[in-house]
Amino acid sequence: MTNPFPLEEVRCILPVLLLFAAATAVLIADLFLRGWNEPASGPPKRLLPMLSILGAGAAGFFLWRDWGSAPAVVFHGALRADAFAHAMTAIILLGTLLTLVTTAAYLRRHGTEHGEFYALILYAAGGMALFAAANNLIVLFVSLETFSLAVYILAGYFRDEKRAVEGALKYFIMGGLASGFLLLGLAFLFGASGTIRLDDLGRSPIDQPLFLAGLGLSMTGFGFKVGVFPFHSWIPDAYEGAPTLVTGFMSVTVKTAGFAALVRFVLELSRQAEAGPALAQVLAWLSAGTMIFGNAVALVQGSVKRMLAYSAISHTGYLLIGLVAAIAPERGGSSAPVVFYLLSYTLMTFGAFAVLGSIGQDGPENETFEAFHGLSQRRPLLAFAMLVFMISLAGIPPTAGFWGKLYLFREAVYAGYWPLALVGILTSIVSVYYYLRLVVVMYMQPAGEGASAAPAPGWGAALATAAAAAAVIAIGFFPQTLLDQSVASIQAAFGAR
Amino acid sequence: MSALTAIFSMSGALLAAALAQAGSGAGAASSAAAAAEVVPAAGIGLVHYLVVSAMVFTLGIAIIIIRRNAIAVLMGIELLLNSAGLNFVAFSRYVAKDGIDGQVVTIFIIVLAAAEAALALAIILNIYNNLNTVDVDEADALKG
Amino acid sequence: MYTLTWLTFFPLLTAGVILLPIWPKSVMKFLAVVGAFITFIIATGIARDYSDAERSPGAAQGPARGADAVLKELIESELVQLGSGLIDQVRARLPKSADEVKSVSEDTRKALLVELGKKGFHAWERASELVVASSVPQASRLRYVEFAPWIGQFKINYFMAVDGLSLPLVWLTALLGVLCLVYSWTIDQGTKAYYALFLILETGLIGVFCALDFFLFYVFWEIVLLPMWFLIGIWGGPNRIYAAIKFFIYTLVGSVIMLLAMLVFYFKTEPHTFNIITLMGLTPLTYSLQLQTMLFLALFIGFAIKVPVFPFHTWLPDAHVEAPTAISVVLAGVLLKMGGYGFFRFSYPLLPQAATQRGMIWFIAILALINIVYGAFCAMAQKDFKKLVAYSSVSHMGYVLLGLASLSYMGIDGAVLQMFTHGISSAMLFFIVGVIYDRAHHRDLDRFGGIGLQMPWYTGIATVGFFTSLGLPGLCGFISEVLVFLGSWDTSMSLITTPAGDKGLGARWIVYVSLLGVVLAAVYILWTIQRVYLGNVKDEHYKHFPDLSFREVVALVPLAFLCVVIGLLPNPTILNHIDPSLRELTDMVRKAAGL
Repeated sequence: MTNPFPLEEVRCILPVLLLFAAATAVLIADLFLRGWNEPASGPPKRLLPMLSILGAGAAGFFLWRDWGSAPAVVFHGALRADAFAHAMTAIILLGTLLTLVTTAAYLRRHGTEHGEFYALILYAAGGMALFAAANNLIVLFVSLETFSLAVYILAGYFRDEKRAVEGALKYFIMGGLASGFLLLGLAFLFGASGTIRLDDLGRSPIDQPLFLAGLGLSMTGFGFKVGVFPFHSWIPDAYEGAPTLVTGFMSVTVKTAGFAALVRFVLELSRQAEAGPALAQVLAWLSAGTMIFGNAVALVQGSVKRMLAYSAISHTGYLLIGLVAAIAPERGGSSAPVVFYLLSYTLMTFGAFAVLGSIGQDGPENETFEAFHGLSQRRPLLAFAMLVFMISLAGIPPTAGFWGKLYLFREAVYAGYWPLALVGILTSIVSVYYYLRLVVVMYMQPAGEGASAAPAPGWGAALATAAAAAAVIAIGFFPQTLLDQSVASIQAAFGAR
Repeated sequence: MSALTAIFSMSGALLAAALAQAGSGAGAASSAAAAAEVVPAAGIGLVHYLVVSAMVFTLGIAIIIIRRNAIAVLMGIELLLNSAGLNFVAFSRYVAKDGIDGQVVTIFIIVLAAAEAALALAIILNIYNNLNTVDVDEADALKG
Repeated sequence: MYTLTWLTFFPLLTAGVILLPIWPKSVMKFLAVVGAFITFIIATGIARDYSDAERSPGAAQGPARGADAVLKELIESELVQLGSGLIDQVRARLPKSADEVKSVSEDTRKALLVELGKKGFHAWERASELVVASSVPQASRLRYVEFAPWIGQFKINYFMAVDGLSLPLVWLTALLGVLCLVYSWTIDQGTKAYYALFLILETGLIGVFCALDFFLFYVFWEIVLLPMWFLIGIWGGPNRIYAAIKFFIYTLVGSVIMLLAMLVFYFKTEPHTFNIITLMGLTPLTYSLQLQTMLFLALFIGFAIKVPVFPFHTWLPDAHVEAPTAISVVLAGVLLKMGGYGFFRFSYPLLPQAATQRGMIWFIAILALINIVYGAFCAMAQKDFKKLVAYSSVSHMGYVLLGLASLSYMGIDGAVLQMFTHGISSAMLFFIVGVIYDRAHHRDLDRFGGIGLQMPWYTGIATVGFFTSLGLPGLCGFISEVLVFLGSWDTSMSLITTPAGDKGLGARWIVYVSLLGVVLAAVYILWTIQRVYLGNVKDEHYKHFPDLSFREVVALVPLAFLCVVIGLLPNPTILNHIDPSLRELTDMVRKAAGL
């Protein structure tokens, strides 16, 4: 009989445990601080963001300590602690830290600084980190629900705002639907193979029709979660309704977590010989559709927040290219660009939302293009940071986004899917129009009627935005290390794919 | 409306029956003993569970699509989860006989469904406070 | 030493320094000018050493050595990194020549991968790329080589060097950088951003001309795009946003098409590489003519938009009219040359057979003709002084295409020289327009008159500029135009005029009709001089116009001086230095095309 709870394996989930512990600590501390702390923003309350940053930082430290360790299947096959999980956890932590650093001043400005906000962010991050490492269906589903529930609450965090609660409701309904599909799919996969372990699913003898049905249903569920066209419909509303920085948080971390699990899921399952080519074909169509749809609709948006929402959809399309490349039957690309792309996506998208959250109070009036008019005069550094994020999102060199796209397209060509790369390049040209439209109004239009107040961003927001912008440019000039790391993470975890 | 629901569940059941037939076929191929258990003497087998589960799932989908009351939509989502849970238990019994993995999954599903329901009710309460209704069609401030 | 790196990034460094929030405005401007001036000094130093090295190639030492020698050394340093066991194995397998690399089959490569291991195989691939590059004849003309891996994942190298083709343009960029920054002294809105963007632009431009890795080139190309867009869109005239967006979209579409062609080069060549010199050694014989033609057209669109070649020229007048003076100067003086340079550096050497097929020569020669004549007619019809100069640029860039299409020694020399002299003359003309616009606040040719009496110095220098543009003997424009015409007419070599039924197309008439461009240039330029400088003073205000200020003298006099010196002594000043490189290039293309 094996040890039912192997203590030495706790090391592998230490970051997750720390995140959950920090979240709980924040909740408890909030309970004690609440008594002598009305109104909301006295000095003791500042402890809460500090505490949560500390928790996430500690998680990051232990992650770093484990970096490069040999892949291990722990807790009786429930989790895989490998380089890929480490890399994805690192990206999730990056998004979490950026959010935590940015939000304190933002929440104070909106008079809604409560401890549970930080706790929810940390719970979500912990759930996502587990999701990225999940190796059996139970952990996969439990961690999915853990972070999804936290993010539903965060989306409706401004509970007196119609938009916010409506967005949260729509997000919840579609999220529930996605969970349902995913779960039924997982049930079929279990039925087809008799195992709940992902790595066994790809190797054990299976029942073909049940397996394919399960694969289709669970891919639909994943499609909802990461926002693949035609399962994207909740994204614009949930993104628009949620508090801007929560939108930033969920657009980067939920997508990262979703793709982390999706990559693992797809790479493991496509070991079943019959699944690979068909799945690649379907994903290629979904990818092309998502790229075209996301970019085309983003073109006509009047709200910057919705534009960024559709841009998030289009980036899902780009990311799918990495999956297609990895499982295509031809001599093979790799899904390493997904890792690199998610990192640069996290930096540039969260940065864009952070700027959007900094130019004024939440509300439709501060999300229009008019609100950005003449921003370069009022807040030159903020405008410059936004410029960096926009050119990176558009994929213009020398920025991180450019290398990410190039890497994806190259893998697509290696995998024999050059039309997909072509669609990617052409839609990138289209995207330049709407990203740079924002730059035009910031730099070339004088501030008019609807211009935002652009108050001085707090030091936290300034720090996070500046760091993200600097990183986007630095990666733009020196991407080599990170490219190597992403290749290494995929290779260590999945062999050569 | 109920007619529509019925059509949904019927078609779902047919689909599931077809799938389950295939499933039982494969199971039979893998071992003769398993084949004996797929349809036990009492006449209730894997296929029956799958059909019920598929009907529940399809009903859930139909409710989410058709009903406008947010609480009813929540019930639809619960049905989706429960149908999957039923599947897990059934597969656990008939396909993976030497483990209880599938049944453990179902326990977790039940717990999470409860958590989801609690959260959903909180969101719906917020909707009610803001809009004085729980009709999802009234929540149309966002475009879509 | 890293001379070329310093040259390229010194403006960027200066931009970083002036962006520090510690300088008063005038100090900041001064620093920017000093930075640009140091860049110019470095460029001049390189140019001088280059011409010395060209005079006695054997004696060249240090950075002025030819690229063939440097690349050979790099092969060794590439191999040294391998362990002692592997190094001999790799060395034994290393191909000796470009042909050998070309003949390596897919199976051999797979076998090699197994034999040498991943690390050894990659080293073998990189080394064989360098073998090809060092055996390309043009490599011996490239000097100041800088080579370092940049992004190993994509096999992108930081590979920079200059030769007789790029050096004049680099030097011109550095010169115009100084002059424009001095001229821009009066910009008072967002001065710091303007100066910083201008310096970033300069880095991009120098980088474009020095980069010998296709991808590096592309990155610099895009770095040029963004500052230019801002400079037009923020500091431009009333219609600036329209002009800036038009400029941006045209160029972006062109560059993406170029990127696609570039990726095809990369994927179609074994080993995959972006190294242009290696590609020159590998492509001509391994690509089918059809593929070559497609690639040629893709590159052509990318470059033609920049030149600009009819019918892609419509962004140019808009951009020029809206841009501030100094930006127009850089736009006409250097940016347009990026396109021309692209033809010489990429299209022709990489795709010689496509470039010299009958239809393509026709195509390019006809477009050249249209550019020359149509541009001249458009210039004649303009009422706006700046638009007139802009269209004259379109016309003059046609000569570059004409010389290129001829692919004769003289024609190519003339075309490259035309890029240089047009850089000088058009820069002068835009400064001249700027000077008068600053005083009169309009550019309507019909409302000027009699300026010559009020501003004699200005008029004198302006006349030099106009006559250079017109092609008056004794000034530099004449030399380049004459070379282009002689080269394209030259029956022994020119591909345009070789008798039909032979290899060319026998379209001597294209050259004759192009000569019309010179006549038309005389018409619109003399007419302009008459309308603006001669005759009666049309407006009382004009009587109070001061003559040239110090900064205007600084901007104009060096250019006028160059016009005269190059016009009188073209050989010792420039032609002797660029001719060897261009001959090498011409020979290479002609040989590869079987001419």
